[in-house]
Amino acid sequence: MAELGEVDMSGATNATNATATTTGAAAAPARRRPGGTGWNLLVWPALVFLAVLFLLPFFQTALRSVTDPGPANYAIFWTDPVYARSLVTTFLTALVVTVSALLIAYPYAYLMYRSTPVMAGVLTLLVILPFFTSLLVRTYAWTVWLQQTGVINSALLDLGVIDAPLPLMRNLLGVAIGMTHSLLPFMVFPIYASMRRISPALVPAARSLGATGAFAFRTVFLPLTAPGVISGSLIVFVMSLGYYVTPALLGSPNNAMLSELIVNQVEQQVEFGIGSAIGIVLLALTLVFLFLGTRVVRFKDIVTGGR
Amino acid sequence: MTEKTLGGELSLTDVRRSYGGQRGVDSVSLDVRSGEFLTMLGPSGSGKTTTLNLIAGFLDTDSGSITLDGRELAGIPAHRRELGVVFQQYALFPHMTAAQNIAYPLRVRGVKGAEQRRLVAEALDLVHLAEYGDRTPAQLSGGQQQRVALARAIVFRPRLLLMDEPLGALDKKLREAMQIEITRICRELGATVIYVTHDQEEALAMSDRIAIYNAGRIEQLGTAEELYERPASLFVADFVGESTVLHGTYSAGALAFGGARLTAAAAGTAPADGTAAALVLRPENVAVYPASAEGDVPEGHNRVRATVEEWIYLGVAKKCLLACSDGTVVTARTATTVDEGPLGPGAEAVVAWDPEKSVVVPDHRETAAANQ
Repeated sequence: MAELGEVDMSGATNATNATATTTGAAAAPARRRPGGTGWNLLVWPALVFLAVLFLLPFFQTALRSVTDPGPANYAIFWTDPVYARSLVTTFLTALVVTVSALLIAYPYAYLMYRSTPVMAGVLTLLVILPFFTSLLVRTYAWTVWLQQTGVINSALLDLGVIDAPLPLMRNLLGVAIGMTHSLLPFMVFPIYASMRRISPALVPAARSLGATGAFAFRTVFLPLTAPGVISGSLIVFVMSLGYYVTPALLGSPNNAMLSELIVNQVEQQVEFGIGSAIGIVLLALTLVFLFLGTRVVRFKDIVTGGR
Repeated sequence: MTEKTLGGELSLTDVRRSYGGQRGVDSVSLDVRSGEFLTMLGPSGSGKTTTLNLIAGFLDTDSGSITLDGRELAGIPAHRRELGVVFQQYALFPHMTAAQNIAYPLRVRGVKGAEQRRLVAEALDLVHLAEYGDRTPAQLSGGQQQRVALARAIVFRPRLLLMDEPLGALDKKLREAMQIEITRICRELGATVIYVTHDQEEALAMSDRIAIYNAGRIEQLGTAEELYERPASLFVADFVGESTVLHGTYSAGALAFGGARLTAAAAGTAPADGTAAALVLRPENVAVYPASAEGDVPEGHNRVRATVEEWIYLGVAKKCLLACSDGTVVTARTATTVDEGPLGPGAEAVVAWDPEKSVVVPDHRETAAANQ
């Protein structure tokens, strides 16, 4: 799978080789493997785990989507407009979340990059703090803030800023706020990592050559962070496509994402076949975007943020 | 190609910059002539790179003035100073080809199209990389990246070229080749160059003049020859070339060392009578005689008794280490043909030298210790 993206290795991904004296065109040498064949046995528990708990259910689902009762399960996307619309909603939500996460994460990562080590540590902690609390708790906390009688609306009403409560949740806005919050770390860290790899002499060099701060940023700093931006965006986008808890609690039931429709089919309608079909469509959608992403950056870089 | 020359005149007057730590600059004054290759040499943390950053505008001075062609640079931001800077790690933009890197300062200045291509081609030609314009930095060797960095720094005809340890990342052989290359290019362009290095051989080989930095100050400014032959302080003597230092007390024009009175040319100001002083001796100016042959020492030469400790074969020469009665080690460099026979380890010997070939300097180290 790591070979996928080698087709189009953008110049930006070569950034890491800036100081290498050998030709960068050559593929990275194979990493040295530790010890003898004995070490290879250690990979088996993971393989067995994946095979039993991931691959097997996946094939079951795929099979079920065309046999329970038949391939007509997929027709639901044509026959019922709810499902086609949900496809659009899912895509749109993922896009909004990705863009808003990017707009927040880039300046934040830049702040981390420019901070002293101690301050950078504090900022890192603030980003990963959401990981320390349960997603469910976090999402309910957002409802406390966003609902009609929530903290924000009450405050605005008391202050006389508004006459009627603002619709802050049960819509795309609420979903976007909640999801952006919990997916932010996946955007911040790849971008921060790509900034850290930029030689600190490059911007002063551009300045000495006559570039203003803004021009140097646009022509040197920004392009060199592109791998991080693309990795982060791809991760956030792909993760958004399958999000369930946050859209279920903060979103509108009339405009559900695919994940919510799956739950509905399986739990309410007990239509495992249709639920499976939607799941497979969602997976296919995810793979398409991953593939498109790998046309721009290497798969390895998406996973590791570029190194 | 020479519409505008790179031969700016730079002047630093009483420039100060404190840095909290030791890397500051304390009252540096310096005049660099048009077309001059001036090297700032000193140990790390002595203020040479700080001085360079002050000139380039990456740092602000606390006080003092820096002028280029008579124009005060204070208050002018780095991007409007018109100075070419070559950085230690080249600082090439990894996402651009060599040609795009070189075109960058032209792009900033709105030079486009055919004119830009012509200037880039000329610059690539000058550094002998005409065929390499399309390569990215990662596809170039260290030496080639270095040349691209140099081409990028001169393509927009800055008034001055600043280089911060540009050869630090290269191996010794390549470094020597690049020293010759850089000097050639700078001569060809008539460029005024400020070059920072901690490598004294590099400084001696390339520079018109050298400023020796120590603890934020210029300890001595002069040609390579002046610094080597007439070091003004113990620090300079120690830093530039190999030397033997004899510590003693100065009075009536001579240094009392052991039982001997040693005369020498004084560099700059002679030490005051009765103060601690040091005599600096270059190994190649020291002759070694067996104690029995003391009569062979030419009239008027300084002489000190010592015991041979060891001979070291260097290929082009031999080195003899001798210990004086107080433990001071004297190094002598001789031709490989010299007969070690009567001068084996342990042999009593006399080291002698022409007083004109040695220098006496004030021994600040000892006075500083005495004052405490």
